[in-house]
Formats: sequence, structure tokens, C-alpha cells
Amino acid sequence: MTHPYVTLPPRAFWRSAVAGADRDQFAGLYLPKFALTRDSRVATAGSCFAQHIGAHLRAAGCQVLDAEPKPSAMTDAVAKAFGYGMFSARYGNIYTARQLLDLLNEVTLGAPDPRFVWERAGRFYDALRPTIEPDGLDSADEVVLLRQSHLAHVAQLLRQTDVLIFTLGLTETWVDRATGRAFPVCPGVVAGQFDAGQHDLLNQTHAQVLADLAACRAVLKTFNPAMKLLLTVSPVPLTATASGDHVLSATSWSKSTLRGAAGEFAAAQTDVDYMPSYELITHPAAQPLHGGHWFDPNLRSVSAAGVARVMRFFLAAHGLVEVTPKPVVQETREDDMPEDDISCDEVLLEAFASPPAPQ
Amino acid sequence: MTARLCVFGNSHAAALREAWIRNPGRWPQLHLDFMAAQKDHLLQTEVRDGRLVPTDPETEAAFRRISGISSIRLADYDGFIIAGAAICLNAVLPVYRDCQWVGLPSFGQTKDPARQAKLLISRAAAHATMRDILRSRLGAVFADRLRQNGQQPVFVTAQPRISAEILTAPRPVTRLHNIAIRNDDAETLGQDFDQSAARMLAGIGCTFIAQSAATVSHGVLTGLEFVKGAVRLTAGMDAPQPPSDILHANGLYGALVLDQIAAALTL
Repeated sequence: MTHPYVTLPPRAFWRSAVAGADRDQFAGLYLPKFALTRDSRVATAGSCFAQHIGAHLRAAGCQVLDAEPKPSAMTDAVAKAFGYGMFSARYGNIYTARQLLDLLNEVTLGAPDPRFVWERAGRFYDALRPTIEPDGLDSADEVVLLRQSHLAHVAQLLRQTDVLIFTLGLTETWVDRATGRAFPVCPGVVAGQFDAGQHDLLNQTHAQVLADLAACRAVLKTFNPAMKLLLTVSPVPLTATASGDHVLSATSWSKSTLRGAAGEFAAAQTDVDYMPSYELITHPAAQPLHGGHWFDPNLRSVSAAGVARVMRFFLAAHGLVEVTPKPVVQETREDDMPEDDISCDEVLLEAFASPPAPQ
Repeated sequence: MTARLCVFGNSHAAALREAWIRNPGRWPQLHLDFMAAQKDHLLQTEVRDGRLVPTDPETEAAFRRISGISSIRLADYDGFIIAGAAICLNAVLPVYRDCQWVGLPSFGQTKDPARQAKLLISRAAAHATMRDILRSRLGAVFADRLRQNGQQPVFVTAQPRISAEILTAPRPVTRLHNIAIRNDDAETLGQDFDQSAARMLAGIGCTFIAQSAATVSHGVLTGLEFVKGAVRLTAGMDAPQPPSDILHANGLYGALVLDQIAAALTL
């Protein structure tokens, strides 16, 4: 008697691949479809978690493109506050597939839409990347001018990119009703004004994410037909949800939608791959061998050890580094602060949270 | 009421001291003591039991030789002046060297601002970079030390812009000044520096005294009449600066700075 399972490799079976495996290595969990080498010209974009990827790839000697590098006179602290070096261009956090698609379409067009300028206290902000200029700008004209420059740099970036690594973060986004343009943060949070008659909540479905990813791929090919797309899903939970659901359920909904869409899209395309950073951080079977989890005490930020694990795993799969000895697992204390300060626009929503009701 | 102030500084304190010595009675509302020494000796100090004291014998000797005093009780003063001390336009010129921003006249002349050789940054980013550079300079670090150890007002005066002599005798190190002047950027650049220094110092609770407009030439330079005859920071104030000096200002300049401080003082 025979059946398909007879010939499957050990990685296909829970007992050999997980329960009885070296869970620090998870052999065969990620088998890259295409090689990432030190000669590959890599661009990064996505949600907060994606910021780690560029930094670790650079540290491993990879060629991570930076289309808008910081001025040499600017210190790292100022550069970070102004969105330099976070990703391969100063587009800020791109949380959704829709937001990426909108950006790519705008880059193709090459002209910013002057409607997307937000104002706060006499300062002006790019509504499509409102946190990269923490002090705002002097005028709406300056916003448009800098965005025009940004678009030109992103176009240049895309023409040079061999592999775009995009980290999907959210399904929820706020869109401009008239144009459908997706914002990275809800109007009114950083700047601008929320208008229920003008701004709609979009909670993308699996089909919508899939369609947007396909459209993104098509636009990317117009810049570089050989460009490959590497998808990841951020393990970072939602800071807040406007869906009406509990934020824990909303997180599960959002992440499973993204994970499903990324998997389906990658499975259908030879030049699209999926890297399981989400699983490595969130799955119960992937938690630290000595107990605990890969999150900071706020249960949202991924710990430095968690990030290091994902990146070690990722780089090793591409033969970019040797698998290093197991890291020392450190106890986390309740009063520990997150170990890094990756810039995350979404966290701004936390400022609007009401204090918990008295027990 | 007479305000008792202590003037700290590096070599640029000489202009204020010369003005103070040569103009007795011009500022009846001020009483000044000087505690200055060349270079960054000010950093080799600490506040111990309410006294600002040098932390090493070399610094102690430098203050005593030049100023006659080597420590002060901070509470004895109504306020402090930090003269020059590297809060200077030269420090922020690398931003201009590498970047362009909206507001610079040369930027307005470019046909396609999105595709220029220099990095295009926002004016806010340019200012933030300038503030960050200036924050690590001697004057700001020492001002913060004073602020941490008392509530008296702390005035930090701009180090004078370099001499207008470079217009006729350019030096390799003044290439950017000449470019800024040639590109009509100098006035704006000077304003950007002044605004950045003022905001940076306000952020640590101190007051910036910008270079008097009357002394500024071409936006980024100091007029010749305010630099000629500058003296060295020595005990007797009788040694002239070498002819090659384009950095230091004279007593005429120092007098205008003291005028500004007298006007700014609201004790």
C-alpha cells in the first residue's frame, strides 16, 4: 500500500520536524525559492518589524539599497527621528499591501497629489508618511516638493532592486473616500483632522490583500522585470483596532489574513517567496527552549533576542552566516523597557487609549 | 540694581573683556568677573559644594594665569555669560556642504529640485541637524552644566563669524563661506544658524545671544572693523592676534555683545 505521505521528507511531519526536532534550528522550515547573496541589491519596506531586516542584512554584509541616505553631518539619532535609514527610502512604515500599491502607483505617475498634506499647529505634514518629519514642514508646498523628490528616489531605487523584501503588518487602514488612498495612520493622530464623511476604515480581506499583492508585483516588474519579491508577515500585534472587535481577536484576524494571502501569493509565483518570521516569533512550538516568549513585557514588541533569532534563521537559510551557538536566554522583568526603539507609527495610537477601568 | 555676572569662555572671551576694560561706566547695571581660558578648559571643571572648580592642575593654572581666578561660588552670581565657546556658524557648514533645503535662495534657482547633486532635505531636518551639532559644542555642554547647578540666567553668545577679510584673501578653509555668498545663500544660512542655536539653547533653558546684525557682513562674515585689532586672551590683554587670524573679534565687537546682554537681562 502506498500513498503520498510515504515519500514526504521529515520536515512534513510534526513529530520529526517540530516535536522531536532541534527547535532552535527548525531544519527545513524555510527553503528559499531564490538565493539572496551579498551581491543581491536588496530593498526593504513594510511595517515596524521590517526595519530589523535591513539592519541585520547590512550587518551581514549584504547590499541593502538606500535611495535617500542621511546627510553625513546628521547623527544617527537625528537621522532616525527623520526617517533616514529605516528602510531603503524615506517612505516610513508601510503597513498594508494597499499602502504599498498606492505608493508604487504614485511613483509610476511621478507626481504627488497635493491633497494629501496634513496640518497641525501651523506645521505641514506628508499624510502618506507623516512621522518622518517630526517637526512638520514650513508649508504645504514644501511637503509636495519633498514628496516629489521622494518619488523620484523611490523610482530610482526600484530600477536597481533585485529583491524587494516587504513585511506585511496590518489589514486595517484608513482611506480617503474620494480617492481610495490609504494612509499609514488614521487622520488626526499625528496631524490633520479626522472627518467621518471623508475617511473610511478599510479592513482588507484575504482577497483584497491578494489582489493588491498581485498588482504590486505587476508594477514592480515595470521598474525591473527581474525583480523578486520576498514577503514576511510582522509578528507585532495591533496597537489598536477600529474594527469593533477585541484587539486580540482583531490581531488574529489580521495576521491570519496576511499570512494566508502571503502564502497563497508566494505559492502561485516563482519569483515571490515567503519567509516565516511570523511563525518563528508567535507559534507556541517556536518559543524559547528555556521558557518565556519572544516578546518584550508589553507583549507587543518583539524582543531583541526574538529579532536576532529570526534574522539568524533567515541569513543562515541564504548561506549568509553560519548558524551561531544558541543565544543565552535572559529572564525578562515586568519593568523592562523594550530593548530597542524601532519607529512605529502605529504605536502612536496607544496615546489615545483610555486607562483601564478600576477592578 | 547691579547684576553680577561671570563671563566664561574660550579665546573669544577676550573681545568682551577688552570691551569691559576699555569702556568703564558704559554698563552701570553690570558687574563682570571673567573666568576664561583657551580651547576647551571649561569642560575640565565640575561643580563641587556649589563651587565651579577645575578638575586638573593644568586647567586651574590656565584659569588663574589668564583670569586671576580659578573657581567661583555659583550662588554669588546673578547670571552667567558663555562667550563664543564653539557655538559658531562654521560648525554647521557641513550641512550646507552636503545638502540643500527649501528656503535657500540657490535652491529656488534650480530647475529640477528633485534631481540635484546635493541631498534635498527639509528645512526642519537641516535645523535639527544644526541643533544636534551645536548641542555637542563646548558652549552648549558647559551651559547645560551651569543650568543643572542653578537657576540663574545663562547667556551664550555666538562665536563671531569669520572675518570679511576672506573676501579679498580667501583661505582653503573658507571655501563654503565664499560659495554661500556667491550663491546668495549666505544671509539665509546665517539666519538658519541663529535660529538653530537659539532653539537648541532654549531647549536646555539658556538664552542665545546672536551676533549683532551691525557686525555681520554678507550674512556669514564679520565686518572688518569688528575684527581689526583683536587681542589674544592673555593676562594683560596686550598681545595682538597674529595677522593671519580671521576668527577673533575686537573690543568694539565685544562692546556690542555686552550691550545685547544688558538689554536681555531682566533680573
